[in-house]
Amino acid sequence: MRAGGRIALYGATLAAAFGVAFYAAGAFVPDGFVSRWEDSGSVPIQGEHPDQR
Amino acid sequence: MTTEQGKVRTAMNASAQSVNDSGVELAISGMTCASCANRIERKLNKLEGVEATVNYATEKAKVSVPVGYDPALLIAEVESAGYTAIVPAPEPRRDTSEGGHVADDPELVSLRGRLIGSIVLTVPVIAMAMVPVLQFTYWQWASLALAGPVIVWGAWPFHKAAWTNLRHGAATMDTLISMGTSVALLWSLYALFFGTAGMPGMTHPFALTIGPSDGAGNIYLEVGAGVTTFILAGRYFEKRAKRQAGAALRALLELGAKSVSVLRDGVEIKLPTEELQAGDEFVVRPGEKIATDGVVVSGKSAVDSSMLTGESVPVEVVEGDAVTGATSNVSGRLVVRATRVGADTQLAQMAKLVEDAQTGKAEVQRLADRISGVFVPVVIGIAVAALGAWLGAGFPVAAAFTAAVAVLVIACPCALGLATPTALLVGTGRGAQMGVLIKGPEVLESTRRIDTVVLDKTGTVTSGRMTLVDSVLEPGVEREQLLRLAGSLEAASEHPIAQAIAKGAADEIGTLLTPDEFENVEGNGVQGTVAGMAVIVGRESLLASWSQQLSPEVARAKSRAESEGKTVVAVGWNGRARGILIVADTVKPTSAEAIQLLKQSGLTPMLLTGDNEAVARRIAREVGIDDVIAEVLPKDKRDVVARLQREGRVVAMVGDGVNDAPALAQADLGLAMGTGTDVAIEASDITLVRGDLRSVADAIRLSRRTLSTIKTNLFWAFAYNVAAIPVAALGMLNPMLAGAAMAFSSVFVVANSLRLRAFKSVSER
Repeated sequence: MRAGGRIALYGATLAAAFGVAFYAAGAFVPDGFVSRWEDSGSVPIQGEHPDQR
Repeated sequence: MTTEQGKVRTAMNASAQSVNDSGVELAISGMTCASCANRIERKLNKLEGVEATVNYATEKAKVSVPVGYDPALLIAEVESAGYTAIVPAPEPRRDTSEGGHVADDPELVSLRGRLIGSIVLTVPVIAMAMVPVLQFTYWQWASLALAGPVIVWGAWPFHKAAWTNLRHGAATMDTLISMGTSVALLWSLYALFFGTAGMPGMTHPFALTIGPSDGAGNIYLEVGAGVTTFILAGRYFEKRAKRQAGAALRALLELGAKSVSVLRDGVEIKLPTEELQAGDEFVVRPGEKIATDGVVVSGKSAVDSSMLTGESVPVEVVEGDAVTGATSNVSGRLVVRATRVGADTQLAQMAKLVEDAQTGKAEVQRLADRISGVFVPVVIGIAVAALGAWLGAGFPVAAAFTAAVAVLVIACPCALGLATPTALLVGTGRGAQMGVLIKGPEVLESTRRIDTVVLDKTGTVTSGRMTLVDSVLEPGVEREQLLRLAGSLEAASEHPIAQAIAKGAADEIGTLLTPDEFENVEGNGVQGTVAGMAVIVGRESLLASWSQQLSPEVARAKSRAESEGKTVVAVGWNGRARGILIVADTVKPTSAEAIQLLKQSGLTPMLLTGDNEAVARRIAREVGIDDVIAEVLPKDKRDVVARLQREGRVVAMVGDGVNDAPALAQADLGLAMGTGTDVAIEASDITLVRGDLRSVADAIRLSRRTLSTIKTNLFWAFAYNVAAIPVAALGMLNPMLAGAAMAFSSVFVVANSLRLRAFKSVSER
């Protein structure tokens, strides 16, 4: 197979992998888990200099 | 025609002689990892009648082509894959003081420039990202100004290689690095210009694990710059290690004399050694190196060949003796006639053995190459899937992006590509220094399974030279007198047995007498007059022809010695037999220790000889060998090795003679004594430059250690990549730390390989 064909096939495989992972994670990861994860981290405060805190 | 093609043509014209029916050697440029070597190899092997192996470490391709094949076709094929190739011109002889400097290698110089520039620019970027107190009002824009050149210019070799790969629908570790750093830069540009990250006073604390964040408020410039710098550092040290590892070969080639005093019509003319022709006679003064292999025409001297053989005692040479190029003349003036010049000399052949070993490839490396070839696309797939999963689960885009970038960066198979070549280079280089020349890397695989070592007797376990070992005297005869008269007469003969007796006598009693008369009785011995006495030394039959009979007691001693394979010479003077002298091939002083070492390594030594059982048993007992295969005809030695193999043994054969060559080739591992014949050396896998049997143990130990280093390297490269990928995909790694850890794995592999330089031979311990 020529390079172009290989790249196209590989691109399609990547897209499929992305799609499968996307929908599988959406289906199996509970919403609460993501919320808890977001709440647990320290978020950099945008536009705020340390001296301004 | 492009400049590059012009260079190719010039190099080809300059070295058309390097193309022959045995193959072509190409110097390849532009390879950045084992995957590149893998790809070029596949491309070349697709050509009809072509068989190629490409080594990433030595940056050389060994190509077997049909006779008359145009190397330009090979070069075009390599160039179509995105790399450059030339048929290397013969290397000019370089001065030792200049050889091997970093300044010689433009690629290394360029790499060093990029590395230094990247370090200078990256340190403040990482410092600002890691230490929040340093994050002044516009620190993020300063980071962009510093990190931009690093990711674009510093990582340029990775981007270039990634583009080359992409054109061929292939992906390598350069694709990973290029993608990882480019994605980091592009995301940061987006965040700075279109997100909130560019706002004055933004802070960005350093974190080991990722937390929830606003993607457009984060920049990843320290990731891109850090990864680039760490990978550049790893690659720089790997390049330097490759050069250091090749130093043994360069040192070997630089052993030779640079100029020579050739005799032309009785006048000495100073010429470069390259202009010396076979048959030329040249003068070697004390302290000078012998320019090439030859035969002494006149003069007498001691020659120090320690740099070639490791033997520290200089060897006396006289007219007619062979001398080896690159050895040093210690005492007298010699006139030598050149017999072999250029690539035919012993030194050049040794260098070729090392070169062949370093250009070849081991099966373990092929495995690593194959894995690299499929690893990269799979990793990109995992990164994409991780991105999809994070997004699908509802995590912020920035967190998903960070996890995907971490996967791309952590999975770089840099250390994987280095695992085998560096260990091979250092291992074979160290072997060359110890006088163990490993002919091909596949030899390393063989040594792992060896369980039996078959040793040829003469010249291998024994010295192969006759030595006076004993005397038996008739009643009333003094040993000193017997030695003086027999030794004095034998000194006039050139026969090896006569020389052994003369040397033994001279060693014991000092100066010998000069015979007044001397006659060589062909095939029987010698007779003449010494100190006024009519002396006969030779076969018992020679003495009997003069009615001189040995007493029954001495005759019994003679029979006993002969049954043990020793040679007996009868001595008589003034009409009576006076005694016998016994000469024999003696066991080398280090043979017993060598056998002990082989046993300690779990190997079973066996003695193989054409001598009778009794002789073989005596020698075997002396050195500690239990298994003896005696009375084997020279042509049957190979069958013996084959039989042992059929019995399930994995056999190493050690020999030195022409008659050992078939057995050496048949054995799973052939080891030739460097003191032996060229045929044996050609047929073997490993050449032991010194005639010391302990080198066998050294060779097997070094080969096993090198193989073990390769496996350790491969394990760490694999374990690291495989174990870290899920961790990165789960968002547990900061991409910058991932890059640092990965570069560390590369340095670990190189450093682990360099440990082989500390390998000590038995004689050094």
